[in-house]
Amino acid sequence: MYDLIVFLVLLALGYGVGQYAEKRHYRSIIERESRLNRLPAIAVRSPPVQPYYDQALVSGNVVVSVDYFKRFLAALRNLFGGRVISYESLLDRARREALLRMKEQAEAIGAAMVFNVKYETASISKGARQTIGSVEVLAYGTALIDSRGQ
Amino acid sequence: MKYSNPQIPEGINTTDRHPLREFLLLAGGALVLVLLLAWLVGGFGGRLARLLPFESEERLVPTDMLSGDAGPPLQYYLDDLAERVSSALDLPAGMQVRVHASGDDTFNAFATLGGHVLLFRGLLEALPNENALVMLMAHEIAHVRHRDPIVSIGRGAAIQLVVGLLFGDPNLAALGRAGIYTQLHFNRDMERSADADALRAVYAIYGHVAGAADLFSLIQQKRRHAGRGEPPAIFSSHPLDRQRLDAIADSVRQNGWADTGKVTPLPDAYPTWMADLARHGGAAE
Amino acid sequence: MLISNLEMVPGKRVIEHLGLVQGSSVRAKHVGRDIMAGLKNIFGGELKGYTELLQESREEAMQRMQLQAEAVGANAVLNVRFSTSSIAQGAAEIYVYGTAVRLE
Repeated sequence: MYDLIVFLVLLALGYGVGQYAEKRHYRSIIERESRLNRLPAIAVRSPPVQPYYDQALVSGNVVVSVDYFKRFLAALRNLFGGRVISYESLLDRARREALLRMKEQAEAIGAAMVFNVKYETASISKGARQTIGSVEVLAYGTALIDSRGQ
Repeated sequence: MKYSNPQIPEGINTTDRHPLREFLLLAGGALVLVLLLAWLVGGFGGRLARLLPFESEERLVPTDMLSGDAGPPLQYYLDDLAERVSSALDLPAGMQVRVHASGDDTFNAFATLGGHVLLFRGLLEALPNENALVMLMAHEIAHVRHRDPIVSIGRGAAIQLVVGLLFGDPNLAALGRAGIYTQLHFNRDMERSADADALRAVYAIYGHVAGAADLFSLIQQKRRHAGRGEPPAIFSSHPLDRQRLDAIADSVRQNGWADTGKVTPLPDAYPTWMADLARHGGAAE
Repeated sequence: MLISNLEMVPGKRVIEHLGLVQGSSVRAKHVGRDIMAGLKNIFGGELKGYTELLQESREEAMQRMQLQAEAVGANAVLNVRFSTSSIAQGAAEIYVYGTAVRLE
């Protein structure tokens, strides 16, 4: 009986805190995205051929973990099959956060745009069942810096 | 060439369905699935186990583990009571009950495979009269007669197998527990029918059922004394004490049995036997 | 040293290709971080410790790749790629590779 109570408490905690954190994170993502919109991130390999651009590799990464509630939901989904909606928003947040961090880094070095943006997603400690179900997203690309100003 | 990042609308890569709705739908479905499966498979496993003849059940028991601590007078007394209860319960031919008393002060008694019934000193000492002792033994012997020990093993194994296979994911452990609760549900049914048969045996032996309820009043008292509340019925392997007492009262009313009468006291030497039992139990450790 | 994941550098010509250079780094997190991560396992959210760990790890891998590039006499590494794999429970390998070139 007690493990059932512990389970329900964890579930409620995971749900409450997880939902709150997700809402807050989305707010911050949207706010930063609109601010960094003027710095385009382009997934094209060939940059504009203009000799006055300096290049630098920029990257942003984030490791996120899924909360207890979402993990339980995903495990349930595993029984029935279908769309695992609890992980959709997690990965969406992670990808956008990684890209934002990359853009922030590019902004800090005065880049005009970032080219050839690539994503890399890796699940950390997968295979280890009861442990942390977490995923790393890395976004990287080449920042083009207008060197005429200097 | 112009490069820009226009704002992309939200919610294309995510599904806008409330997580709680999803949770209720999935968890409810899974729970129904577990309970249904456990119930079906458990029933099947139990039925399968019942097919095993009683004789081969006896071979599954390591008999040396069940050597009692009782001295000859107590053993003789218990055997005699067991004999009377067995005939009152109309045990089939070839079903032999063996009663053992343990010197341990555990407040418990149980029947296990092969018709072995183990009574612990902790419970034996506390019994107020012979009628309660007969009720206790009849309850355990009724388990033997119903083949409850082997059936519940078969059930448990079947439930664990299927639930383990389907819900082995550690994240779903809580759902797997539901399988165990189904098993407990079966257990409570077994206890209820053992109680009913035991009461019938007490009536057959004494002509009245006075003293039979003392056993459960004793268990209830002991629990209160220990300050432990009873867990809610669905988490328990036995019906609630209150329900068991009520069931006795009901069955007395329905059958028109007398629930008053002269209770038979325990033999005068009983306390001495208990002290003896305690010594033997202590020596065995 | 110029490091870029583009295949060319606008306005500069590659005069020599020097082959593949690579850097890798395998790191594990310490127990303290694991405990924090265990908590996060309930509440969800970013595992800052791991983010930093992988970041450091990636920097180290880049440094190693750069050392290789310098050793072969390159002044730039182009078409750089990252790859991450969890090789054991709690340890991750960061691998970075690219083409070492000499620019004019």
